[in-house]
Amino acid sequence: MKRLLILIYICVGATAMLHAQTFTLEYNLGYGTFDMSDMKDYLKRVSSDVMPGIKNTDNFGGHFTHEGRIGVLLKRHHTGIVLGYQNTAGQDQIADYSGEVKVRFRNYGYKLGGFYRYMLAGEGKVVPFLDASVGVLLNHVDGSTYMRILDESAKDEVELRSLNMFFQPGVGVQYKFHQRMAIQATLGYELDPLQGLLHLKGNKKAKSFYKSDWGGVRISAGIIAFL
Amino acid sequence: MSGCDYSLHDDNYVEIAPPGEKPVSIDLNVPTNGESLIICKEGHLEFSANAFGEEVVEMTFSMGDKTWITKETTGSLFISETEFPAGAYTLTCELQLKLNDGSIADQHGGRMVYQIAWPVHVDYTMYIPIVRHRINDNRQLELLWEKPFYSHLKIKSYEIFETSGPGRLLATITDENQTSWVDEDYVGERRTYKVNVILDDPEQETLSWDVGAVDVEEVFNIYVDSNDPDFVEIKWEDHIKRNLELYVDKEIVTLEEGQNSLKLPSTGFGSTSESDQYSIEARLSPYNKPSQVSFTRTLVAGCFGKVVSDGWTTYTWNKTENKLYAMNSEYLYSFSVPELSLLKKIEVQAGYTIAHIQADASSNKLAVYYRGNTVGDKKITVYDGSQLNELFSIPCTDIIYDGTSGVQLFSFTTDNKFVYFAREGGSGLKGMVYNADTGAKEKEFDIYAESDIYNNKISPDGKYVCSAEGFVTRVTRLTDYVVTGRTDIATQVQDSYNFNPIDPSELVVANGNEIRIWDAATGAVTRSFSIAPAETLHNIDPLNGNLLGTKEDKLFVHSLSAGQQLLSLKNKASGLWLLGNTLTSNYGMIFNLDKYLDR
Repeated sequence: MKRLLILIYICVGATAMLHAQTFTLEYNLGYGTFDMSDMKDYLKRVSSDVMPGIKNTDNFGGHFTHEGRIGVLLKRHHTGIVLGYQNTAGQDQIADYSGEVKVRFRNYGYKLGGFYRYMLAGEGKVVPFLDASVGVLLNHVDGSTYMRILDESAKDEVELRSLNMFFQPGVGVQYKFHQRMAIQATLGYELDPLQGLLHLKGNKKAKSFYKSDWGGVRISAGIIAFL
Repeated sequence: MSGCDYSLHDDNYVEIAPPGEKPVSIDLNVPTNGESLIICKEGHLEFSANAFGEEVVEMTFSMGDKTWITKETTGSLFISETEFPAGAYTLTCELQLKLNDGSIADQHGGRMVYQIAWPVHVDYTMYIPIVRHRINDNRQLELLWEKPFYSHLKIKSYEIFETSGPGRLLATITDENQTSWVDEDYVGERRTYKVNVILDDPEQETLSWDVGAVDVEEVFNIYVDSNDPDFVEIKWEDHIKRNLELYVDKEIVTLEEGQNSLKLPSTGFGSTSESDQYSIEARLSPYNKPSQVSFTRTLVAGCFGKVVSDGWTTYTWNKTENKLYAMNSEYLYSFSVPELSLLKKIEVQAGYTIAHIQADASSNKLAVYYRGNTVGDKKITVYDGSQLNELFSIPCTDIIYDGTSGVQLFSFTTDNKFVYFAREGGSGLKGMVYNADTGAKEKEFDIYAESDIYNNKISPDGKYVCSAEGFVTRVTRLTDYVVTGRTDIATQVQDSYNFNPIDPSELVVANGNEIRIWDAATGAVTRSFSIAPAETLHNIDPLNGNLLGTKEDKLFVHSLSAGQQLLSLKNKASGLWLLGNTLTSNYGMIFNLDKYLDR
């Protein structure tokens, strides 16, 4: 992680030194779908142990993504640091007069990486671009099993961690409605080529057999400021 | 960040109707008084639970500190006296039913719980006659019981068992309302019956529960009335309808309808030996099965007299109390005269010796000689003859005694003294004189003898001691227990001699069939008479001086004045004594002769 940050810093710094540059700051709100096939299996297995016949209510569906970028624009080349946050959840649940059972996993992904964007036109209000980001993704998984039978209830919780590497290529278009402001839309796809096995928080040796795969389509829209 | 979290759905509610109240029933096999269960004996308390189609997962019974947990719906709880002392308790049952509705709680072992409680009264002294018996108007044994009531169990039948033997089923009654049964085979013996109720549990197997048991004591009583010297009468009680065959010495006796006694000529007085008597056997069979003898009673009868003691028995008679005392190696008894009813019985442990007892002629005291198992462990204990309370004991390690039965070891005198005869070390024969009230030794006197004399007798007034030594009978004259002279009577007296209880100066000596009365003071024969040839003189009755003699299988009572025969009876006893007009035998039999002799 440290090496990656140094590398990104060196790239940005070197570029700035060589040419006249514009600093950028942007925020993108998006929507993503997530593969999470391992987590789906994990949820199914835990649920079947706890309560046969339990129903699935949420299966790690698509959800909003958030991304912030700080970059440097030099002619058509735009590069910088990307920070991202995305989450999803899976849940099996059943309830009746005698009680309730919930098995739930919440997955949080925290991204840190670098991006590179190539503007396909030098001038103009509307500029299409190609985009790619790469970095690490820190997985936080909060699992819980809640059971209430008649007047008694119990809850078991577990916190898991792992580290992925992500790569997200995409295409987009930017509309500059002001000399220093533009809005943009992007379509991409996240790949997690390297996925770590989830382990208990604070105990890397206590590993599970499951991974948190965030792979999926990313659609986003955002605003960018040219400083 | 949580505001950005993925929203989860909480709407997967499955509609299942909550279960309502379900009927449950628990039947217990225990009597009640309408309010409480009654436990009056240690044992198993049986239960049966029914949830009418629902699955009973577990039952937890609790009483006091004890808890029983079972997954079976039928079973029993053991109630022990140590865990449940008498008192009031509450028996609770927590019955858990499977929900069986597929709900979450059902799948995770959730159960419906019902709790039932019963007050319990524990009293082991109480007897509840659940099964009773009676002899009905038809003279047959009838068992009766209360019909038990259950909430879910159905009475299928009753089973009657006879359990006093190896146990057998006597009858099965399929009418649940029939609560009595007649045992037509019962002939009068002791029996234990048990009644079981066979129950149909709709959900379970057939159950067999105890209703109760009843002991029927033997009602056939055959006994001997032997209070007549001429005949013995065998009597029996005829409460039950059945057949009776009576055998005397293995010969069947023809009995009339309703006959309940049989007279047989007596074989004589005083023996308990089978060889001296008749062998009686009563064979009982059901009235409708005469060949099926189900009960026999045997006894021996023939000798007249009342059996009062087991084993070798010695006797004495107390004139003051007019009581007869008997003693064997274990017990000392007192009897009223002439009824011969037992008045008192105390344990004495006389040791391995023939018991010697002697009554005081002028008070109610009674002396008993004890010899322990060690050398020198000898004593004479004096009792109050009314209550048989011990007054005092006199150690008598020096007492002279060769173990012969019937020897007079000691004697009370009319001047309130107690005398026994001793030989100390190498010294001569002595008379040891004690105060009969305090047991304190007062005097001793020498008795002239050339050899050991074991059979010494002191006259009731304490003035003469007679010692038979070979061909000479020595009479020592005493004044206040100081020797004042001696008279040798030139006759061999063997054992049959004694002082006349009416006139203590007269010494009665039997020599063959010739009875001579000697004047103890002068040594002169005052009178004599003969009894039948070969008749043996046994003793002189301290009541009136009558002489008891036997010859072959007869006993005779003679007057002392002229020897005339007063009474003759058949006899089977060998150790015979006539004491206060009561015949006694060492076999433990006694018979009063007041009806036949003047007192």
